[in-house]
Amino acid sequence: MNPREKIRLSNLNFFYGKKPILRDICLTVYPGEITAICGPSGSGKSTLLTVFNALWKDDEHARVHGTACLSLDGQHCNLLHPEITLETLRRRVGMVFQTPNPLPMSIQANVAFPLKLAGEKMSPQVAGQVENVLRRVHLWEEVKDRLHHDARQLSGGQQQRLCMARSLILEPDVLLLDEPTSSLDPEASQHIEALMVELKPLCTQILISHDPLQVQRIADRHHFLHQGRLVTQPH
Amino acid sequence: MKYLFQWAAFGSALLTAAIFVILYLLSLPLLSQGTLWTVLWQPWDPQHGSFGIYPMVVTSLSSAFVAVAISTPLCFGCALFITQYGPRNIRRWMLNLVRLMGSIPTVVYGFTALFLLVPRMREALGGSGLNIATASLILALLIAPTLILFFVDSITQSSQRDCHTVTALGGTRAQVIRHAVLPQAWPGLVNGILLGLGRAMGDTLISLMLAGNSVQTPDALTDSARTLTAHIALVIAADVASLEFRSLFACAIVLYLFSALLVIGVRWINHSQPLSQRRML
Repeated sequence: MNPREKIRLSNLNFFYGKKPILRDICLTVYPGEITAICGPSGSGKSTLLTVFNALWKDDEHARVHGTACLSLDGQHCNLLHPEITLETLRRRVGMVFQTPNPLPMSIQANVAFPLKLAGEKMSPQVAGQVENVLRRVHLWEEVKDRLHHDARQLSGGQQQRLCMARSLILEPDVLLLDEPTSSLDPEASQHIEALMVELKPLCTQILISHDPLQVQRIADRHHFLHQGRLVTQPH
Repeated sequence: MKYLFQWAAFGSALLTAAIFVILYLLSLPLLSQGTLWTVLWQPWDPQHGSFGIYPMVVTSLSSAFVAVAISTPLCFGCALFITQYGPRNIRRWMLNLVRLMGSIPTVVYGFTALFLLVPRMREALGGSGLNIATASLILALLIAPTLILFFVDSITQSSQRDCHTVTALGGTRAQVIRHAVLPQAWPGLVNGILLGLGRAMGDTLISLMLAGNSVQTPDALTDSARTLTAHIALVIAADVASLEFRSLFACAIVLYLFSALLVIGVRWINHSQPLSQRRML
């Protein structure tokens, strides 16, 4: 793996039961860039995303063959290694889902939740981290007076920014974005796009998108998936 | 058609109320000597005109609560294995086994326990081996299918979205259960426990066969004692005009009220605010 590469997939095949979902995927992701993956519904985009944080391992029908390497702190991490520590990997590779998915708890508790999972308790330090990350996603001014309110009371766009803040609090190396704007109105989508561009120096982003204009606007490279095959190479 | 269903629903409710009224009327000869409260607190001594059911109430409650206390953690573990940890083919196999357990007649449990469990309890605790502890152990086994199926249902109905979220944020399997499954599944878990309690309290054969049937207020779980249901089964042969016979209806009222309380409890839980919404920091 080239030291300039963040992720490299080679000859990756993904099967669900006996059904092939992804075939011979070869893909390189570079650090600090937004790499977009486009394609029609059912082409395997979201499935491909689960390879990067090993989320597929929670499904006992899923099988993956090939090579998938991630560069973390200068070390090469084999994403398909059976002994890989999933929790540690998922704390370094954050994920934002298509539909905003705040947990049924307060705004502050939601954002601090990954730290809680990592064993940290609520403290002034954690509260400070929550504030920083909410400022980074431009949500602080909107929620600073209601941090203890239920996060599900926020608007769709605010919820999605909250979910991004929740992923960012662990300072991930890679952020996976599975159509993060598809359920949002144009204004909220603009906020999220601007945020993704701002985050480029902080983390590598892999974006699944149905919107070619969005890809043109913010992606550094894009790939097209069709029936489980990568049919175009990065420009 | 609509009116037919309305009348069917109204008829069922009326029937339930009518049962209570009939039980009350039939127990009037006994209750006219005092109140239900007096009958509840008196000992059972028909020779001296005392038809209290206090010892049976204590036995019924203690055996049911002990059975639920034994069964709940085991069934919860089993439900977690079936829904979260076990390989898929074993999960299905276990679930079928649990359903099969639920269809075994209680007399089979009782009879098997008489030969397998009672001698061991006799060796371990002394006495005849027929006591509240023995009955509670088998009652725990009897209510296990109800509890497991309820627990499995409530766990599988909890939001997969929250489970995926916690997993993607780096949560371990245990953290997914704690933070995503339990906050949503708890009303179902409590409902299962309450219904299990009702089933343990209402079972007749197991307590009749294994609790020893002594008419005494138990001081310990190793004491031989008689539950309300076993008492009804044993005294039913008495003269129908006797107060002894009438006391059975007082027993039935107590069981009726207990069941009603459980149903109200279940309803209240189902309509209460989910715990997840009370978790604000």
